[in-house]
Amino acid sequence: MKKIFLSLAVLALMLGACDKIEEGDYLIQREGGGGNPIGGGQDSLHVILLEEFTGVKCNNCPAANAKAKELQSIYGHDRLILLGIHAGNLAQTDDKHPKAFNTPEGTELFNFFNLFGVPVGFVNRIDYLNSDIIKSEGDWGSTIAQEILREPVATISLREEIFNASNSTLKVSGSVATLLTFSATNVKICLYLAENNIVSPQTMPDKSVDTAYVHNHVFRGSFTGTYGTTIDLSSGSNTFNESIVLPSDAVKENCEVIAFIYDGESYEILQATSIEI
Amino acid sequence: MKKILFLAFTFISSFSFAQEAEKDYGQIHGNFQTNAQYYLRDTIIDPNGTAFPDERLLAAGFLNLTYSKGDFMAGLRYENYQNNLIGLPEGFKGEGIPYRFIRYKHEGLDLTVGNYYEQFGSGLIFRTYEERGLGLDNAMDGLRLIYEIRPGLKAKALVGRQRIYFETSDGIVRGGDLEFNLNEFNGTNSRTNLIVGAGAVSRFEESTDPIYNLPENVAAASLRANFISGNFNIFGEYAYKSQDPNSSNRFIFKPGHAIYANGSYSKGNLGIILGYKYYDNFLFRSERVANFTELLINYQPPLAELHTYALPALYSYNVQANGETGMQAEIAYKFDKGTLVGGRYGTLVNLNFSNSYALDKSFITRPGFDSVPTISGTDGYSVEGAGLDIETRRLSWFNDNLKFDIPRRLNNIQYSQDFNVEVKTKINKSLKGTFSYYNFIYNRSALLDGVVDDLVSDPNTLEIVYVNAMVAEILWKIKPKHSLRSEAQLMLTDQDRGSWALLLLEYSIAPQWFFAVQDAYNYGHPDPDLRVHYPLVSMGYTRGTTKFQFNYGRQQEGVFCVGGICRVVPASNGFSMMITTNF
Amino acid sequence: MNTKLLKTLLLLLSLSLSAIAQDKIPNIQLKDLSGNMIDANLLENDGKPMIISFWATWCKPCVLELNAINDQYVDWQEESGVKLIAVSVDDSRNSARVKPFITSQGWDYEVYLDENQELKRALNVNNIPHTFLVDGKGEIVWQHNGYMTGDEDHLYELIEKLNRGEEISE
Repeated sequence: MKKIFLSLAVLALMLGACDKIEEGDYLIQREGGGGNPIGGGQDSLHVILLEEFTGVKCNNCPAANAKAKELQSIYGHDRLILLGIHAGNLAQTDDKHPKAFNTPEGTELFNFFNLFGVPVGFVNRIDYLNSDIIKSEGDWGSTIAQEILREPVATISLREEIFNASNSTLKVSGSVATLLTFSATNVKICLYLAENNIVSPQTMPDKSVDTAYVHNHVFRGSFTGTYGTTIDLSSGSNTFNESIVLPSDAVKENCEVIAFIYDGESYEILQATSIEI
Repeated sequence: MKKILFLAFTFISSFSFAQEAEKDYGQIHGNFQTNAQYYLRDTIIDPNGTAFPDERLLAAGFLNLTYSKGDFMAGLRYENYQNNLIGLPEGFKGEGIPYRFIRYKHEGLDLTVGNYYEQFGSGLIFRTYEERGLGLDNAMDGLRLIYEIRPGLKAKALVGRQRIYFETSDGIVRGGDLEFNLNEFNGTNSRTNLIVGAGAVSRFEESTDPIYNLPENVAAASLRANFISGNFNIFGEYAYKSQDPNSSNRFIFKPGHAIYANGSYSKGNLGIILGYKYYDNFLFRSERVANFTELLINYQPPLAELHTYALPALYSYNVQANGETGMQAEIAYKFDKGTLVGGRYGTLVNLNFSNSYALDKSFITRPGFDSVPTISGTDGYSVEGAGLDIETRRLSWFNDNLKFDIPRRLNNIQYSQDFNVEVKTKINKSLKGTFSYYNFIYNRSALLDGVVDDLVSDPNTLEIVYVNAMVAEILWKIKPKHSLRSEAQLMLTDQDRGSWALLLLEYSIAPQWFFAVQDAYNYGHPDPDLRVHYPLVSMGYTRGTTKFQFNYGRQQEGVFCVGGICRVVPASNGFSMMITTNF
Repeated sequence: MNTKLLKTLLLLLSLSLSAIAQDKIPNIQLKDLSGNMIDANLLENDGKPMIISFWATWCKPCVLELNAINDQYVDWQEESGVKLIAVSVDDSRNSARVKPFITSQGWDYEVYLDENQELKRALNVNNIPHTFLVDGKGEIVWQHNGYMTGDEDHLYELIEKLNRGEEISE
């Protein structure tokens, strides 16, 4: 009986039209596995910043985090920069979670863009004007795949100037140069500090707590405030010079600095870069 | 498109208005509803203020207008959210006309252009509907054609995109359905009938995913039959869905299967219903990545009783997107007046039992990123055969001696079990009473916390809540037009938020006024600071079709469920107002 | 766009207030308990009044209302010839429950199923219970939302008015 149903259903399906993917073809094949990034270095290519909002008490976040890292292994660290912003009510401490990594800037971003939960992310903060800036984990891959094909409109170079260990002050400097196709008039520059290799408890999918979870690219603070500072690129290029006081529990060797410029009207990130320090 | 419809609408209405008084210039119906809530900051129920809206006052309004004249019908709905009430989807912001249509029906042909709602069979492959209380509206925007090929043979064809807030989805949905009705075909109107139907739906969504080779066209098809013979009514539907990797099933390539069957017998004073459901990877949406109630194409009947009393409703059943199976049995019997149980006026007794289990899955994994095993990008899982194993199962903690033999699948995680009894009787000339008892087994981890069963490493860590509840409702007709309805509810449990007691008194003066006072007391909460009262006062005024209702007080956190789809409603404190009218 | 919207809506509202000459039941199909399809606009009662009541098995005030009327239905039918048509808007999960439910309640009404709430939407019903009173000519002369004990007495007063040939002005 089930066979009759099945065959009739399949018949109806052929009218309904469906794509059948053969078993071996579920995954898109890449040469050399995960280590071969698309495209070369970053000097003249459009770079994507994936900001994933997360929380230590969020049980769906480890999976989202793994997805972000998988995407980074496909596109390469030079073309896809990750930033984990801990914010929202799942980024709070409690007896099982002594550290939460929420920052005033992160919380401000969470509220400004009207986020309602985690995990969600921004891909170069695109689609703000058509109210579609919040991207679910399942959409990150396809959004990045489309965004990464865009032509670059500017380049950013960044270097560490000096680190004063006595007062934990880090100074960085760099420059922004626009390419021919640059058109934005209200441009802001943001410098964020991220830290890798932080071991701290995190809630896992089955609601248990992993005390040895390694957090990477955790947003620790901003050199330039939440929304950055205005930068004038009317002449084609400009330089910048910023400093930050490292949080007391931050390990300098695990840190990296992310710099990006964005359009003040549409919030879209126009170019990004990062360096390890 | 909107502007054209508007102009058409106004033109037709004004044209018909200009006609002579005797002519039928059509009719306009409408309804209007507005819900507004002013929230007060309550530090006891919400210490961090996470559920407290910054706007303080939230309001939503709806206006529906329908114009009909002869074979022609047109309508629109205007919605306004400034902003939507808490607990409802945040995507409803601002205002607009998300629903508008023109419909023409003539001699077996029924054509709709614009928005429409439609259902194939029990909804297993296609059901679009509006459930405002859930914030669910997955109306189609496109074209629908219903054609009666001959009496008893009806065909439906549709195409379009689904509504998501004030926009339409990226995915395109198209479908067709054919239904054969024996009595209609033969032109008879008997109590014996056979209705057979088949439907197919498919969805197209582009894919640029860099990791998975996703199918852009996903189709579902179903076959159904309904046999009615006098006192018997048997319905069965089987459906199949092709590969549909999506964010809910974590991108597995397994096809989906679903079975929904129902049988009932009713004669004299007796009614018996039996139901069975089997849903395997059967969530179907217009877009692969969507949340909660967004863009659902199909509907999986929950086969669980919908509880309307406030305390038992806190443990309402939520259909599991990743698959489930279960059954339901119900017996209703009316004891005639004059019999022992029937008493002087007759007594109605209703027994209901339903359960839900996770499917017995064997997961198929592949080494994913960082060599962590994952089911994404594989067939997902295979389901073991229906190995039924009888095992004694404790019915409740309340009485350790009460054991039932209930068929149980091996290694399955149970989602819920619901046994309830309701007795309705008239005590004397002015008193009517309804008495009910509920026994629930509720898997809180799966149903409320969203813990997906396949990620559970140790089933003993799942939070299962065992509940016993009792409700007594008395309706006292004091004098003509004055009546007092009271509800006393008690819910006992050692888990979750502990035990509750509730008392409700509602005084109504027909046909216009009602006043009600309610208090729910969470006396058994494990945290002594949360053993609080939730008092609520309401009043309402009805005149004709216009109804005003005002509430003030503290509402407990709960779930609002309709048809197995639930919305978590956070605890709140404040004033709320609702106005509805119909014209 | 918004002002144009408002103007159009105001125009339609004013039209509706003046254009309501005949309110008839729309042309939507309903299913009876044996699966036979009937056209709602063809429902009639031989020139006598009809009550059309929208209800569902899970709607307690609806069941209360229909039970209260059921207690007096035999008398009502004898005296006024009125017929009550109960339209169930239970979703597909519950439509198989409807027949056993009615049997156990002991109702004598004509019951139809409006499974995807099409008639409910076409008549602009927001919440249930919602009851319509239809006169002998098939025109909707009165409607009421919600139920309180005693409402059925008021409903019967209106039925008697119709039978006497009087207008209903509320």
